[in-house]
Amino acid sequence: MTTTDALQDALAAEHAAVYVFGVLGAQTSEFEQSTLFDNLLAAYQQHRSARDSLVARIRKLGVQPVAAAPAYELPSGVSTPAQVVRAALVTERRATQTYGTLVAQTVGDDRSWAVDALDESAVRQLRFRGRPENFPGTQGLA
Amino acid sequence: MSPRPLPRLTRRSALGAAALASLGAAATGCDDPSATPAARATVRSTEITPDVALAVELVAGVQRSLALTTDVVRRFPLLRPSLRPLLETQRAHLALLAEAVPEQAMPSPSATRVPATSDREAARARVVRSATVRREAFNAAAVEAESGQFARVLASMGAGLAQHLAVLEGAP
Repeated sequence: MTTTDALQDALAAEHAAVYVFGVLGAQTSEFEQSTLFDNLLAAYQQHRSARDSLVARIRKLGVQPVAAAPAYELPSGVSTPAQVVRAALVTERRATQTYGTLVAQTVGDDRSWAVDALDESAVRQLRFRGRPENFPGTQGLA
Repeated sequence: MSPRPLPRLTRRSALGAAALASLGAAATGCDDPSATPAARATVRSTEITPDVALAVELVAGVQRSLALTTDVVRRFPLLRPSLRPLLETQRAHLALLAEAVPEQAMPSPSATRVPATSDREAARARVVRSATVRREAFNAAAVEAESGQFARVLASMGAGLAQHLAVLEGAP
């Protein structure tokens, strides 16, 4: 896998995360579940920001960034707050994994950015009932 | 430029690869195939690869943090519930990192000094500061590492500490 492929994979994952967090936010009452809503909104904005950074990095390489799919499959049902939280955690864990892979496949400034993204994603899991792990983002390396 | 690829994909082998890279002329030719690369290597300081040097430095740092957390948990039982998860993670990080360090290059834990304090909150704050320093060291080493998989494991350790720090600071 080349650095460009790894960046494109990360971008594809961010397209999915932006979509899923958008749906989860739309399923959540801003007034009745205000904390959950705020956490979803923050995650949505942070994933959008990461997506835009990846687009810029890929364009800088002279490559066309991968486009978002029209829709993505949700990781679980989202009709109750508990299901929304579970879906958010699954999505965030996938992002953490993606950034773990990106760290391994990049060097220099791209890797530095990926290390920060991994860090932020791992911490974001805690907002959705995630717990600290010894080695977040290394699931495939168990 | 792409990072140096590694053929094996486990956390243990990713760290072991750092030690493996220090073999070659340094290997003793031990016949035991089950021995770890680190155990089979005779390493002189001039033969340690940059990734092994990073691991040695990180082991020394984790040993200091672990000694501090262990001491604080022992002295202040009320801090045990909140610090035990961090302590377990520090132990796991040390155990895995140690696999990347040839025996001859392993820093001595006895060299670490833990400053005493009778103030519980000051002790807790010291543990948090120490973990923060380790997190930054892991992240910096991840950027510097030659091996991509080694970098991934180091970044993961930094992220794990980031999670503990977010919990300890009450602001995930």
